Amino acid sequence: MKKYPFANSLLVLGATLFVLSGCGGIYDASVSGVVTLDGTPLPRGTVSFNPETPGPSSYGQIDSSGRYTVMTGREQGLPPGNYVLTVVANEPPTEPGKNGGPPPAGKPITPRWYRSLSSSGLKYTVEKGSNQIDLELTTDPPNGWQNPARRGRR
Amino acid sequence: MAEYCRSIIGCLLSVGVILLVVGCAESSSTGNATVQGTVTVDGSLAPRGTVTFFPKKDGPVAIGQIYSDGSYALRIGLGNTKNPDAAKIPAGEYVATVMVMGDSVEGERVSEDGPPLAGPRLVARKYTSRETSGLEFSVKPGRNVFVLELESAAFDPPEISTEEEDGSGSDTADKEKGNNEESNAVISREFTDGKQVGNSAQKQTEKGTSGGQVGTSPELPADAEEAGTP
Repeated sequence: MKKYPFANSLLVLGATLFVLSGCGGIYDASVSGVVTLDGTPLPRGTVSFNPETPGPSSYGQIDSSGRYTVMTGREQGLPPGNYVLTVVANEPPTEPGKNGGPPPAGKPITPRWYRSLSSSGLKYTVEKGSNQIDLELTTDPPNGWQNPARRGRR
Repeated sequence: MAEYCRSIIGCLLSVGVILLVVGCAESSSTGNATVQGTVTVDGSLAPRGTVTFFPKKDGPVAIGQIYSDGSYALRIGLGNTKNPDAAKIPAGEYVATVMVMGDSVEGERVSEDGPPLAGPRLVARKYTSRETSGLEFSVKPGRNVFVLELESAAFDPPEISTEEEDGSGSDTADKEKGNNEESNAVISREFTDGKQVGNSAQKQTEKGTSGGQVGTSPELPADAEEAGTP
């Protein structure tokens, strides 16, 4: 260190410029929370935040304790605004695919209605600053829910 | 910035330092746009894989690794080695291909003590070729966020063996046929028709083929399932 007396100040300057240049914390809001299904934290899965105004969706990966933090692309956070959320969680595939092909998808953990924008019923407003959004999902279907036909091209 | 500019010299100096730092950080960047985003497969975040952006006109191909949280950031070549997420690519029209792999199969390795084999393809095959992916993006100067919501390999259409007949009998196609017979008909055709398909996507396809991992979708006809065994 003594050999380069300016190294420290250069580092500080570099870090400052890095922040100023907009490489970190570019979104005005952040969201984290816990996802439970009938009171039990989900062990895995995906929460997606779909803006009501045009724009890319943001996503949170649910960790083994049910927590998620929303990212937009590679950056933490998202723009403030109104969002419709969907939640998808599947068991890990249990059997290998045939001929080394993709394994059949694991059993779904979350009910189907949480997977679609039109039926999830999860509408939230994300405020500027940090937001805590805990999602308490249930296996009771919403009123008027009808299981659609199995999807896929047949 | 303003507080550095108390004097002309100070201002010039700080601008100089900024240029120096920025210049160092982006010495290998060639563009004016950043592209980041997220890849999902049937609604779940993609665990690993590659996103490739092919320019519609001349220009370098941009690639991005898919991280375990489904996110990616595009770069050209080595990109911005100091801050990979800030790598720049030229703005313009692009066609994207995506390969998403699952966990590698336990115990299967390239050779004894070698690295594990790549996991099976999780996305529908159409996304791995730019002729069929249908993923077109207009990259604007500045920041771009593109979410790729893809269908899984379960959506691969059942393969049709008649494609094999017009395989034009090129070496590649023959080899592929020998490998896996009918189940490979579609891929083989991709090979022969798609020579211009760039490095990354093609490599992925190749890997998939030689590893016998080509699209065994649940809808495969029974005879195609047997095709893999000699």
